[in-house]
Amino acid sequence: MNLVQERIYKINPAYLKDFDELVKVHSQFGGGGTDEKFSRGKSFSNAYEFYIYAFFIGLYRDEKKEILDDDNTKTFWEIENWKPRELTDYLIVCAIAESDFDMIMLEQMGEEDIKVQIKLLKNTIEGFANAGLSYINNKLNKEPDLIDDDMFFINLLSDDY
Amino acid sequence: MIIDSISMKNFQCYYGEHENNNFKFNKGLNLVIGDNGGGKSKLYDAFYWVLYDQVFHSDRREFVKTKIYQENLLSDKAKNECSIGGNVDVEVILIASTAQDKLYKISRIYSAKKTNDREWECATSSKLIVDEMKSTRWSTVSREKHDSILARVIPNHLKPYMWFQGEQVDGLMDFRDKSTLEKAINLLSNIHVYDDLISITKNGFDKANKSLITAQARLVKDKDKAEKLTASLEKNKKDIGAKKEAIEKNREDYEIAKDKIDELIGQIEDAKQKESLKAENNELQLKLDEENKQLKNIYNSLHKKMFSDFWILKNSQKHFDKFADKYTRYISTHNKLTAAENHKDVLPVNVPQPVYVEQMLDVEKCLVCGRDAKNGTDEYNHIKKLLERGTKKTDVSIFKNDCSSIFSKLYNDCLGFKQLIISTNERIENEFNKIEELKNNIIKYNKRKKEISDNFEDLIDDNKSNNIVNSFRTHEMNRDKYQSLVTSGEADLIRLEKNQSGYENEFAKLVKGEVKSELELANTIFNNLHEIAKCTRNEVFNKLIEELEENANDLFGTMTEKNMSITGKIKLKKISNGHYIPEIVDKNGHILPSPNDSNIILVKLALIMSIINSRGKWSENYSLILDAPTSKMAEKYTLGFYETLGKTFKQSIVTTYDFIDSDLNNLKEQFNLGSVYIIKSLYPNGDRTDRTDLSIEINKVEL
Amino acid sequence: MKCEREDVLNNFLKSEKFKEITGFTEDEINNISLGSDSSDVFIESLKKLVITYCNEDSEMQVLRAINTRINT
Repeated sequence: MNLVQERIYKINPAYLKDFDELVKVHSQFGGGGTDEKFSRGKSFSNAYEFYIYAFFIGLYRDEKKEILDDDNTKTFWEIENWKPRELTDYLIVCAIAESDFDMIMLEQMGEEDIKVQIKLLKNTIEGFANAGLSYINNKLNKEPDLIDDDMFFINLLSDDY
Repeated sequence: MIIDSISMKNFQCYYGEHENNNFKFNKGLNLVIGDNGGGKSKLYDAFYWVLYDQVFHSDRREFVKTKIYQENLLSDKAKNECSIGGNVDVEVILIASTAQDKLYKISRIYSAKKTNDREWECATSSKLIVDEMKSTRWSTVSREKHDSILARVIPNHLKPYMWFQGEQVDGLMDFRDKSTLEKAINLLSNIHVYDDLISITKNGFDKANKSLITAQARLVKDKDKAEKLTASLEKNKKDIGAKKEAIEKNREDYEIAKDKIDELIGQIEDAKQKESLKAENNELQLKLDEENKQLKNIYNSLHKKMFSDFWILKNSQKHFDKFADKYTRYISTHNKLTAAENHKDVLPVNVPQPVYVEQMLDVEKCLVCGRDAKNGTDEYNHIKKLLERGTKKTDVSIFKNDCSSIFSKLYNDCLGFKQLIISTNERIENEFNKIEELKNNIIKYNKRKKEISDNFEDLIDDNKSNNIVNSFRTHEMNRDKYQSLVTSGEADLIRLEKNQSGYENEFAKLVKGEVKSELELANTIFNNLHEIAKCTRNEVFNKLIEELEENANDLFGTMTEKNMSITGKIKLKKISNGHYIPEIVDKNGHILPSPNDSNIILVKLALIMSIINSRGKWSENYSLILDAPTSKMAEKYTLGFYETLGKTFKQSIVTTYDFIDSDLNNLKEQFNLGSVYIIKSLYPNGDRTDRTDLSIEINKVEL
Repeated sequence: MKCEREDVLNNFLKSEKFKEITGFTEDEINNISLGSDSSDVFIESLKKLVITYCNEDSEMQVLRAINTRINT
């Protein structure tokens, strides 16, 4: 694997601490099968699934919420551990498309410049994901009953963009 | 061990010395045939007494210890003949052999002294002597080894199912008692292993969970709130447990009510109508079960489909197109640079492919422009150079980080999603349509089932007494009641589980800091181990039941193959997780209306034998001893039973009234007969009411 | 009745719940055995549970063995 590839998959994107409760509520931690996940009201098997979902919501809405250096954030797993791999690759592809990530110049760059490019990519991923989380959070705060709606996340995806 | 012989001295009706009261047994089916009251049950008592120091007290209808039975153990004739001040000794000697032909002699002795005409001073207890055969002599075995040797004659947990009397069959296999099968399976299989593992993993989880919560509590600033939440968590957890139990109980009651309805329907006389409605009802039930299962699966997997079916990429095409543009610009630049460095031309390395370049060299002509390129000319050499592209080491050094393979892979892999993305809306819609269709079908089937139920009620009304009709209505009401209790219970359970999540999240919010990851890991691992243990136990138990049902039906089939009047087969019906009840059903799976007693007894015996047979070596290593097992069966039902016994057990010893006037030579091969004895009560003085004159005459039948 | 630990482990691995919770494929499950060492702490905990129980260790010893495995 070359350095760039390794660096991309080692990206460990973060979410704002404000969304910690939201992530915990909707992701299943602590094991258990599908029955239990559904009956415990968990729509996502784990944090990264929810993160991927939030990324695409932010992407489709064309909204970014930038994370600043001073922000309180939480991380979970490097991208290389996310499953399924094909979906993760697609996420990377969309992030490349929507950022200033320079595919051409990258091949001539030294380590420091590569770091900068990777950071760009990371920022893009984080931007869309946190925007998605923010949107979901606001929607649930505005209409608290939606939390009991088993179809909430499916319906959100089905909105036209 | 297999029983070689048993002999008695002055044991109850068996008056006299051992030589006069001696039975020798072989492999196969050994019969001791006698009239009622002729000494059969006392022979069974002798087996029991020598091993367990207990006798069946016919008045109390229970086994009692020797020290309670006392002089009743003694032969009345021996007691009568004994002078005052003299002793009467009672003895039973059992000889048994192991699979390695090692012999053991087990002797139990009891004595009583006659103090008066009708009074006896009895020993406080009997005496047990165990000898083993060494070379050709008996050698006494020490007391410490007695228990283990007796257990090898017949292990305690097997005894109820291998040594029993005819009147105990109903108790051993009570069809109304849902725990009957479980008791047998728990005793005779290793299911307890899984029960233990469930208990261990539960305790492990409770401890790990407690440690995790304690560690989290230490990181909590608002202790009061944490305490309240912990209390809520505990209470909610208990409520969840109670709710699950209640749902299981209601499920069982629902199944039982359904069974009772089935039984009553079995009594309807309009057979044709009844069969047609039954068939339709069964079909509807199967469909309903299937639709409900599918609906549950769809709901459970809906969120997963966003990822596994890539619904989530629904609106992503325009973003991929943007990437595609970027990639095109990139790969074009990349290739230009590569080509420029190697050959100062713009063709990529494999264009044209080597096979065509070689073809051009063979025909000495350029296949693009048609010009000649004879060997040795500049044109020929120019074409030849194309074969050398990509082989020079200098290719690698153009780029500091050649990312072409990564980006190309990303491009090509994601390109493949285009068709999938186009069809996403349709696929999502299909899924929701499926849900609607399933829901509609369920409503439709339930409606039709209600109509059928009303039809049954009318049919019963037409030709049955008020009692039965009322009974039918009551069971229907119960069935509906328990069904709705299960549904509402499940909804409550979902609510309680959501509450539990809510409390856990609230608690997590109060925790400032991180607990040790091992604590969370232990919590997760034990939870998973416990869940899997529970599921595995049920699967193992269900498999045992399946095997049991199959074996029992094989045995039952063998027992009844020559008897046309017996119909039906054995079904072990699941009424809830871990509870099964035995039923006799017809070929369509409906409960057989009023099977006769002989039919029922045969089914029970088949089940008992199947349970013993499930662990193959038991029927090989231990003797089956039955006292009048066919006492409630009509004659024509018994032949099949004996034949099966003879084939299934290495040794069985059966006391019976059957064959009392038969010539057994014809049945020797069919039954795999061992020894056959005929016993008769003897009253030499002619008065059959005088028990002081009673002894037993034992005659071996020569086959 | 002493339990056969291979049988017990196999019954656990065959269980539907096992597949559901771990997400292992058939091939991955077939490669699990008491003899081989996997790097998965859950699998090793399961093996510890079966081995120590079938060795007729007490409940405390069984739990301790699993916890030790988790902590290392």
